[in-house]
Amino acid sequence: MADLYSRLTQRVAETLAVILFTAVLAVQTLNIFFRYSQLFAPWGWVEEFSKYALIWMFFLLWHLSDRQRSHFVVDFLVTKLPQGARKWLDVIQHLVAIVFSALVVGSSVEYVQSGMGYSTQSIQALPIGVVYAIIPIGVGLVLIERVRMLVHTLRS
Amino acid sequence: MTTILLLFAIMLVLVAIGVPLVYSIGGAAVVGAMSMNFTFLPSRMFTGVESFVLASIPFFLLAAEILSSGGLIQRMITFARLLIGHIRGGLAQVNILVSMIFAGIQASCTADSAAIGGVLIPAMVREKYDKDFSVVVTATSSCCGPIIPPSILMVLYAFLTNTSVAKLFLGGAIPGVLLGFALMGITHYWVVRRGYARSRERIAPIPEIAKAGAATSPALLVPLIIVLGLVGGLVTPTEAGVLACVAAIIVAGLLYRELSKSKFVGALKRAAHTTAVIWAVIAVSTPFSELLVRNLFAAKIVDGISTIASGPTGALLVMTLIIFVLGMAVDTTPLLIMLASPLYEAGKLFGIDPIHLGVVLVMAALIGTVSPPVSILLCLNCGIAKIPLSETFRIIWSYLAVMLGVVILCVIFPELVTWLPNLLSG
Repeated sequence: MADLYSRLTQRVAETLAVILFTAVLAVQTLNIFFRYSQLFAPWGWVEEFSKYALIWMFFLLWHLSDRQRSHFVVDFLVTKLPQGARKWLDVIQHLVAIVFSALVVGSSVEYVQSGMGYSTQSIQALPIGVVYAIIPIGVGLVLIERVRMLVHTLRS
Repeated sequence: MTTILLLFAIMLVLVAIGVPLVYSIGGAAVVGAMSMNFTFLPSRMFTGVESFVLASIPFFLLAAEILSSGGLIQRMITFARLLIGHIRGGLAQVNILVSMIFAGIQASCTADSAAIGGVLIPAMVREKYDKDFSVVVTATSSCCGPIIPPSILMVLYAFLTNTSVAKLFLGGAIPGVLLGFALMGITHYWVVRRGYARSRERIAPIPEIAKAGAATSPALLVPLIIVLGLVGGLVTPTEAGVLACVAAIIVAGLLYRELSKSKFVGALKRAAHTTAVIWAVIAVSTPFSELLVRNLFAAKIVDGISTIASGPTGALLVMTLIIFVLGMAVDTTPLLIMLASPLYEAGKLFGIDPIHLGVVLVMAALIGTVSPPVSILLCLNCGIAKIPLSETFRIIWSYLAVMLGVVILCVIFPELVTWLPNLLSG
């Protein structure tokens, strides 16, 4: 079950990230071509779309950095400690991440709602709250990941 | 002052016990935001990454990943070996030269070091170079990378301080090349002292060099597109990154014929993952930095520095020392994210040119990464060579002295940094 969750979230997050990244690369390339060739008028929404697509990509992948332990870390003191002490420092690390992500998820609900009444600047049909919705989704995945890591550490 | 001390105390304690920087900073920000509405956290995290300049970083990373997957490094090493392999200690000098060239494309010293070290350290050991020497040459030369344009660290500094990316790129060109030459000088000293031999007896035939050069040169278009596009004001930083990716796809896919669909998707995933790691720190640093600004952190830095130094040069020397020392323990990227903005504000009050400050801070932070006791880059390369870190201590001091000498020169003579950007972009 745990493995299924890991595989599923990784597959979905990475596939969406690759689609978003490729889409931004494509529309940006076309827009530069349009501007210099003057065959078509450049699309006005590309800049904003690129910003938001890349932000979605980042939030979708954040929890995988936790799973793969690829965040920046200063561990030269910790590595000198015995295994038992390191386990408890690991527990503290998970707890700090859980408190932080839980607070961000909780408070971002209000933030998302506040943005639902406003549209983005260049894409009128898109409420900015929809763009903000990636914060509770992405940080929520971080929260779940850290709870799983905490349980795993305590059981080991 | 109490709030600033509290924020830093929480962050440092968490960092020291091995909590990732993103949550150490985030944890401190949570405590600092206790008296506010907590929507402060998600709103500032979002605005922190909502920048069009920042959007260039994934594309610079992707261009480097595509070229690495497309067999560029091996081609560059072949070219550099043919070009200077006949001089004494040629392979060591090749190592530095490749870093200087690849640097422009890779834009990250850790990636540069891992990519080049993985190929060149075993090759140097096979040619009877000592392992400690091979490690030190590879690690220190990787520091040239993020100084010679284009550089992700410079983009980060530009984003954090609202300065021109093009001017920063140009500002790093002379110091980066100077650092490369200084490393070649100290390497020659050790080559002579330890009596290392030549890789080849005679200079390679000119047609052979020309052929290898022709195979490498299309890839060099990638950094050129970025730098010329930005300096000429033709494209934005993000568009420069996008064009670099397009050029990289053409070079690796059509010219080298080494970019399959799976390699391309792999490059996309790796670039996206690295982006997520960097942006996570930027996102959580934004509310943290705002709390520092609200508590007049920059003015406190100025007060502190004023007690031990006066004038822009003295202040810049002190800032350089702070960043160098912190760089021994903290990776360059998060270090800049945390401190570039307050040091920039303090630098303005001291009358330091922001381009000068940015280039010098990036150099100091990079040199910190090869300085014992932590030394992220040395550790990485010691892992490749399978030797303990302590074995490198016999010669690393001489390299550090030379590199710090170059930084101090750049501090004392600002023109080394500012002359080129002033000349080319006014």
